[in-house]
Amino acid sequence: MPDFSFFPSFPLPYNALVVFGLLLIVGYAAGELFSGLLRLPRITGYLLAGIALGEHGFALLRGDLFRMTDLFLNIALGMIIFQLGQRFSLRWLRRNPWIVVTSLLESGCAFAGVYFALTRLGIAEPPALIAAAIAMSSSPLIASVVARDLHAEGQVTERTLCLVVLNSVLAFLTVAFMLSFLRSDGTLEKIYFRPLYILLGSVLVGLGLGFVAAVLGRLLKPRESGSVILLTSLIVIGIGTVDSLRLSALITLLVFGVMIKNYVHEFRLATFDTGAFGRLFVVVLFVASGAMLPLQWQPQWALPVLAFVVVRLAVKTAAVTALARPSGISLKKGALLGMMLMPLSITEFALVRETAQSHPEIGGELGAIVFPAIVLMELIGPITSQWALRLAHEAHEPVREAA
Amino acid sequence: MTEPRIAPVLDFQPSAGLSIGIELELQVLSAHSFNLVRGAPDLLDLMRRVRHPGELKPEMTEGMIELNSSIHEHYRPLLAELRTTRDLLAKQAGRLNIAISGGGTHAFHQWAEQRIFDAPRFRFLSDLYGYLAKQFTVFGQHIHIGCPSGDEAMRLTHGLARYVPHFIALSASSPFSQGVDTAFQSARLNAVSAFPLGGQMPTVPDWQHFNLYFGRMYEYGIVDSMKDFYWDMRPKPEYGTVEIRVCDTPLQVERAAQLAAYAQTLAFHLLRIDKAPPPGDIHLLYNYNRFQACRFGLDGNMIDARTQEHRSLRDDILATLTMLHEAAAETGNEEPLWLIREAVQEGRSDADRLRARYRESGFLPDVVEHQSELWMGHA
Repeated sequence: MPDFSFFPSFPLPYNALVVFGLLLIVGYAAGELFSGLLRLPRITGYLLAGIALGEHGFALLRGDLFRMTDLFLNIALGMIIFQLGQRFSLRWLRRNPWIVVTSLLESGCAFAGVYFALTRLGIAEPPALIAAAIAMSSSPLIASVVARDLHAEGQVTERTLCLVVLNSVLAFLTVAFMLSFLRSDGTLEKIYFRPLYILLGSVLVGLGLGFVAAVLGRLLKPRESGSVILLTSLIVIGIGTVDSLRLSALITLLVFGVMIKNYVHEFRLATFDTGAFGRLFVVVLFVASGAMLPLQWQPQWALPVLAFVVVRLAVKTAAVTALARPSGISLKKGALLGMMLMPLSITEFALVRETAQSHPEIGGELGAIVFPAIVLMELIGPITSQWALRLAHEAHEPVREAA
Repeated sequence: MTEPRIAPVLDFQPSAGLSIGIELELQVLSAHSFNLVRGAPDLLDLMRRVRHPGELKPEMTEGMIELNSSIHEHYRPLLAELRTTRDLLAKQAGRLNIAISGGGTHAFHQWAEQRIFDAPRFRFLSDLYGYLAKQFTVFGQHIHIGCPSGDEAMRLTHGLARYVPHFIALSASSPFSQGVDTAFQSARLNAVSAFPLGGQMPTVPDWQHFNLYFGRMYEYGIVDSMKDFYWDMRPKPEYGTVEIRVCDTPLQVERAAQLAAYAQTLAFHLLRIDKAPPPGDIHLLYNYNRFQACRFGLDGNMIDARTQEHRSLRDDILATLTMLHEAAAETGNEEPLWLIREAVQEGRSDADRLRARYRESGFLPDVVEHQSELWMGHA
């Protein structure tokens, strides 16, 4: 009898690579289906595919695979944030200071509005403060991916990409400040030290990356594809460094992007176009996000969740619309810009997790309010953003021939 | 059988003799990538709230706006107005993170990405001309010269034909197109030449004959209005002007005003001083001289139909400037003509400036950034 032991035994064991490939195909197909048939954003398709494959669906996305997607996810996040930094123009803010005013007003009002609403509904002060700080931010990922997907250009697009950067940084620092405030025994030193460490540390790492890029640029004189390789490498190094030093990847990569754009001549105007490969990262990013979405729902929290979502949107839109004319756009574009600021970021999810770990006493309440809001925003946000860009006539989609 | 088309009679609205006005097609750029950006609607929206002389209009694509000056008798007020409008435009564009620039083409824009502005006439053009309409994303300066009658407009159009290469060489600012060096000084005109009703206006002796010609073309169903002619120079009866359309938009408004003054002085010379009709061979030489100007600019070869002499465009322009001595004094255009002379002697065209910048940086977005700084007055 010949030995057939070289055949694999059935059923085949779970293989992360095979599932990873399947995940990409399913995500991509869902995206195309959504954009082609339903004219909905591709990323909504990716997210739903993620939900279907995640723990609340077929539970294929787990263990090894999560670690694998985590790498992609970090690189994708890093590239998108870096690109936002590259676009972020200090010169523009100097020429139109109303944009800075708009940013401060819309995030300040979102904080005050949500804090007021939540405490009115009987939420304790600590979770209400953190939730209000999170409410300041908008998702840089959804904004930039939807805008790119629609080839959008114009003031709503331009300003969205600027405001999401500003309010995300403001929100991050506010959360850090609140957390140290909650953590400390009340002495001033401790209150200021953590946010200061994060801010200064992250800025320094960002500057350092820019410096290294300048040196490498001078030594290697990269052409277009070379600069994509170098910049991607530095982004990955940045993410790793920030992780070890417990700093903010958001701030670091934004600073790096700004540095490259303004001061590193070798890369100054190189558009960091990651092309088809970049899209692959986006698929993984949103499929993984979908799988990670905390789909828990406690009906008794419905009112605070609703208050969080509605008050945040209303206040942001009102603030942005109020300053539309002085800042140089029409009221209509102002209102649509407000709508663009609606999506909340999955990255806030990590912030809440972190809070829950360090402050179990507020983590529960905070999660109960913010998680459903994030889920809601991740699912609705891309769709409303797409509407907003279409209504603003800034989307540039291939024209469908009338039959 | 189809109804015969009855051609309308074109009435030439007389205007004050030798008044000038210009139209500039300008590039609307992203201050981030320096590619063309669909920013015209936002920018025009903002400019409507600001008092400014002249007029600003949307163009075929949203990456372009058109600046129209008011009508002027003289060079100085025209220049002052252009500077005022430019400064306002630059300031408002800055509020929107947009940059504005001159130049006949965008250096690296891929026309396939450009959306056609959403208006029926533009849609009609894009359906008819296909990729040609999109290649029409080029930026020109048009100079209007007022004429008291249609007959004079015809004389002026024919008289100016000899000087068309001058206007091409003096304004040439489109060395790059679709990301490559075209080797031309004005690549823009090549895009315009592809249109079936481009090139030179047919020779007709007076306005009555022009109307007959227009009537025939109308009855054939080839044209509906004067707008369908893309000639290098054409009469514009509703304005009462002759329109010179061969210029690239110069990199700076100062040069745009100088070109208008040059046209005005030439017109004065042709209509008031040397009224001899142009020699017949001018039409044989037209395309040759025009090509030389597009390709080589001031270094191009120019054949004079009257003397049959070959000389460089540079020398021909310098000789013309000398010839215009009297007309310049009469029209008060000594200063702009002297500035043109200086630029021609120095020998650096706008196209040369852009190529020099490219040799320095090796990077087209940098060239476009430089171009926008020149136009907005930061450099």
